[in-house]
Parts: sequence; C-alpha cells; structure tokens
Amino acid sequence: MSVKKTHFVSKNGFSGANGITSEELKLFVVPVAISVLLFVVGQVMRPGFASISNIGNILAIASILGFASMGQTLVIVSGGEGIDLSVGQLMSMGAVIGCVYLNGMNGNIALTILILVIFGAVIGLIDALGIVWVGIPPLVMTLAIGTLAGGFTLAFTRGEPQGSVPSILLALGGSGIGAFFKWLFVLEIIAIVIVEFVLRKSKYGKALYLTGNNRNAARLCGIKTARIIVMTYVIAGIIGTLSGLMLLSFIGSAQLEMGNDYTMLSIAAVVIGGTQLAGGKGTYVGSFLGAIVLIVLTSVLISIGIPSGMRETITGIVLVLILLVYSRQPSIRQ
Amino acid sequence: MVKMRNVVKWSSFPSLLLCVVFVALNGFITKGFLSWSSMGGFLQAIIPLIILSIGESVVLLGGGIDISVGASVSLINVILATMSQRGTSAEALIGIALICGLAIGALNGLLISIVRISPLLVTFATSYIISGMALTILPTPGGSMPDSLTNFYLSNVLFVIPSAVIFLAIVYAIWLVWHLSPMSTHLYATGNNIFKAFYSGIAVTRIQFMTYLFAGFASSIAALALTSYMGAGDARVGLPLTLNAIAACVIGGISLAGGAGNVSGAVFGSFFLGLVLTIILGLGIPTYYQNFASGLVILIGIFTAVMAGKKGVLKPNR
Repeated sequence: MSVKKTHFVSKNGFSGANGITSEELKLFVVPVAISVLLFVVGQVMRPGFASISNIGNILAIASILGFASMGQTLVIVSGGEGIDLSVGQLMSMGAVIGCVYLNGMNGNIALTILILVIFGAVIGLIDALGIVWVGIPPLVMTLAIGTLAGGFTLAFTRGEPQGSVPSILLALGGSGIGAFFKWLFVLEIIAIVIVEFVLRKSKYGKALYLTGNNRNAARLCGIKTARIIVMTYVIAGIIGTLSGLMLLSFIGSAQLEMGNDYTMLSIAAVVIGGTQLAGGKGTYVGSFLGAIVLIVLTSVLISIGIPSGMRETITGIVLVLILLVYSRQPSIRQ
Repeated sequence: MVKMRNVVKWSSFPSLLLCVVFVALNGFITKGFLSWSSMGGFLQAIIPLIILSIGESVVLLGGGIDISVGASVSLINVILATMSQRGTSAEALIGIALICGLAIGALNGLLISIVRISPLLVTFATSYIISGMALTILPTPGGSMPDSLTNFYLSNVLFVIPSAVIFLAIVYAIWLVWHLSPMSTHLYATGNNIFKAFYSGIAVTRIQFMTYLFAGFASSIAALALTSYMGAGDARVGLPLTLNAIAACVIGGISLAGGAGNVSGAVFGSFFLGLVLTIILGLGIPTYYQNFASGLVILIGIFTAVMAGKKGVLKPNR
C-alpha cells in the first residue's frame, strides 16, 4: 500500500511544505512495517492478539501517546534544539488538577477545559520567556518547568489526588463506534487532519517549518520568528495539559505522576516518526505512527509475559536499531 | 585589580557567587550548618551529584550531551547492592563498578562518535536499556553494601577531611590531567566546531569517544559514593540525577552548545543545588511544597546564570 502511495504522490509532484513528499512517505514505511510485523508476531505468540477489539484498544492507547506527541512534534520542528521535556509532568498536572475541577460532574467539563488551557498557556509562556528572551536552551528550560509543574501538582493536591471523572469523559475514554474505532482514536484522527492542515496550509505552519530550517534566513525573509516560537511553546503547553485529560478519561482515576512516562515516550514516537531533531522537517502523522509502534511493541511484550524492566530494555534496543537505520548523521569527512 | 577583574569575568563566577550567597543564607537559616560536622554530612550527601556533574560537563564541553548518566548510576547501584549481598568483597565491587561504568561510556561513545547518531538520541535510547536492566536486577529496593565501604565513606581521613572528598578528588584529578594536557584544547575545539577541529588535524572521533568514556567513569565513581552513602540499592535512585547534573552544568556557566565553560562551574552548580535543598529543609517548608519551592529556586538560579553569561561580561571559555 505504502509503496503504491509513494508513486502516486511523487507523480503528482507534491513537495515542500505544501504536501507530504515521497521522501516523507518512505519514512512512514518503516514504522508501518514494524507495526504490522509486531502484530503478526503477537498473533503467533498469543492467538487473538490481532483481533479487532485488541487492535482497537491498542490504537486508543496509541492515540493518547499521539496527543502527547503533538506538542512535541511542533516544538522539535521549530528547531533551535527545541525539545519538550515537560510533556509528561504537564499531562500529570492536567489529569490531577482537571480531576479536582471536574469533581465527577458533566457540567464542569467546559470550565475544566478552560482552566487547563489557561494553565497550559501560562506554562508555555514561561517556557518561551526563558527560551526566546533569556536564551536558556529548551532542554534545560522545559526540564526545569517540568520539575516545577510536578511540584505544583503535588502542592496543589497535598499528595492526595481528589475528585472523580464524569460519565461523559469515562465514555470518551472507554467506548467508541464499534470495537475498532474507539472515541480516542476518532479524536486522534480528527487531530491529525487539523494539525497536518495547519502545518501545511496555514501561515503559521509554513513559518514554523522555515523557522525550524534556518532561523536567521527566516528572520531575514520577514518572518517574526520569536512570535512563531512563543506560539509553538504555548500550543505545546496547552496540548500537554489537555492530553492529561485524555489520559484521565482512559484510566478513570487521577494519580500523581500518572503521565510522567509520556515525556520520553513522546520523544521516541516523534523520532520513530521520522522527524529530525535538528528541526524544520517532520510530520505529525509520522509521530502517530511512531506512537503506534511503541504501544504495539509494549503490548506484544506484555502479552507474552515479559516483566517491566525487561520491556524497557527491549524498547531501548529497538530504539537504537531504529536510530541505526535512519538517524545517522553524515560523516565528518565530507 | 586586574586579577580581580579576571575572577569576575570567569565563566564560573555567577555560580560561585550563588554558592557563597546560599552558604551565607544557610548559615542564618539552618542551625549549625556552618559547623564542621554538619558540613561533612552535607558533603557526603552532595558529592555523588558533584562527581556526576563533572562527568556531564566534560561531555558538554565536547559538544555532546549524556542523558544516561542517572540511569548508569542506578544500574551500578543495584549491581553493587545485589553483589554485595552475595558476599562479594569490597575490592571486587570497586572493580565491577568501574567496568560497568566504562562499558556504558564506551557503548555511548561508540554509537555517537563512530556510528554517528545524535548524542541526545543515543543516550536517550541507552538510558532506556540501562534503567530497564537495573529494574530487572532489583525490582524492589533492597540489597546491602559492605560495612568497610560505608564506614569509610562516612568517616574522616586525617581526622578532619570527610573521606567522601577522596571520591571527588579522584575524578577531579583525572580531569586535571586531561585539562593540563594538549587534549584540553582539543576538547574545547571539538566542542566549538567539530568540522573546523577535524580540519585542524584534531582526532575529533577519539575526543568525542573519550568524553563519554569519562562520563561513564564518573558515573561509576558517583555510584560507588552513592551506594556507600545509602548502604542499599534502588533501581530508580539515579532518575533525578541526570536532570540535576545537567542543571548544575548550566548554572555553572557551561554552554549546552559545547566548547564554552569550565568544569569547576559544574562543581559550584551542584553545590548550589544541594544548598537550595538544605535551605528548603531548614526553612521548615511543609513536605508537599518542597518540590515546588526547590524547583522555583533552581529555575531562578538558571535564569540568573544564563543572563549573566549572555551579557557578554564573561570570558567565553576556560
């Protein structure tokens, strides 16, 4: 399928920031192939692994990671060594604080979303303040902000998460249209369409790619790069806290640090999806495919009874192998 | 006064200033902080981080980054704790720690300098591998450490100097040998611009490889110190250390872009981080607010250090 698509697109000559290039499609082949292979392995080891309902579940979980990787993709594409090491803590924060404001009532959902958007936007603004105006490397800035957000969550709840999840959110996280299309997956597909459209067609998206490619050149072309970067971190902050709400709807109850693992997972998903850490290149579809690879891998390992420590090691080895395949830098001798 | 101006322009100066201010603050806030015995206790607690940040700073100076140092400490920590419970001698444990640390450093160095994958991604992937192994070896905290090592770590040599300082001195001495050799210039040149360094005839691959080897070595000594201090193993013990080591380097005026800064800045930076925690404990801030408060102070420290470095008042290197 993917190979056919490659031909189709390259014939039509899509290129640049306006469409997905054939080069990018080739990058998608790797994660898709790995996912299919893993499903086959899972089905052989544990019959029923590749059943429709199990695939639906895996896609739903991958969708949560997909949401978490959305901000990560934008931040990494924005370049300047952009990386967001606070997504996980922001998700925990969104889930735990969101749960307090939800308090089990459907009527509180809109207000909670508004509050989380404000929280995320403020955090993104602080990130941008440090990165753009003070010149703190994004790695360090988001790391510090992540720690601060984790500390804030702990202080806010005094160590005991409260509140409960209302029925609409529980339905969102647990059910769907049939066994395959879980609501979370449907939401993720909508998100992919919107994000890819914004990235490729909107003024912001085009400016983002140019800024990531070469910040000075973009500035000389009249792009307000500082504004683009600030916007990117604000969006990433908002997506971070809202992803926490997604996680909450899936898990069904709030725990401190429930989303912290997603920081590292989201970076892995983005990298497997073919986005270069150098910035200026990458797609959100790719990140979601990367998320699917990671979640299918974990599910296969869980289903054949491998303990959590071993799973982490195997994930790491798979990551190294994937990096060996397509993340090598050119030799110095050139 | 020329000399004074040099000190003020030193890239480690902001972190040194932060340290002095916070030692003074601690003297007021924490009762008896400035006494010799309490300083010794403080050093014992903070020295694993200082050692780790020295390793990290050398990698940063060479233009790389190592986010697997914390995971390495965890792995060596659980290996030491489980081996010691099976009756391995202290000498053998030290050997095992060194071999593990150097092996991890060599793996990172190989993948980064020879295979040429981005340092952030390599050490990110290896930290998964390493922390998974640590969790497999010791799923729940436990294990032990020989009394000879714990007693040594908690004692004083020559009656006054805490033995913990010896661990730090070993790592710093090895860095000094590097720093005083021509390899020091090579390190800074590689960190500044790897291509220019290559065309100037510097063996950049070897330099890069050695920075990760050094970081691995520092992790093993840090793990030895930490395990002697704790007397037990915990597969998650190194988790916050990576972040703290990098934060210490940034506060110490070491550039993440490579080639600028001074290793002593990392030492002051980690001192500062330790002092912040002591102050927050000393102020009697309720447990739930401690993480937030310390995070806030550290963030302010980073802001201060980076702004001081950016104004151009500091010498860019050494």
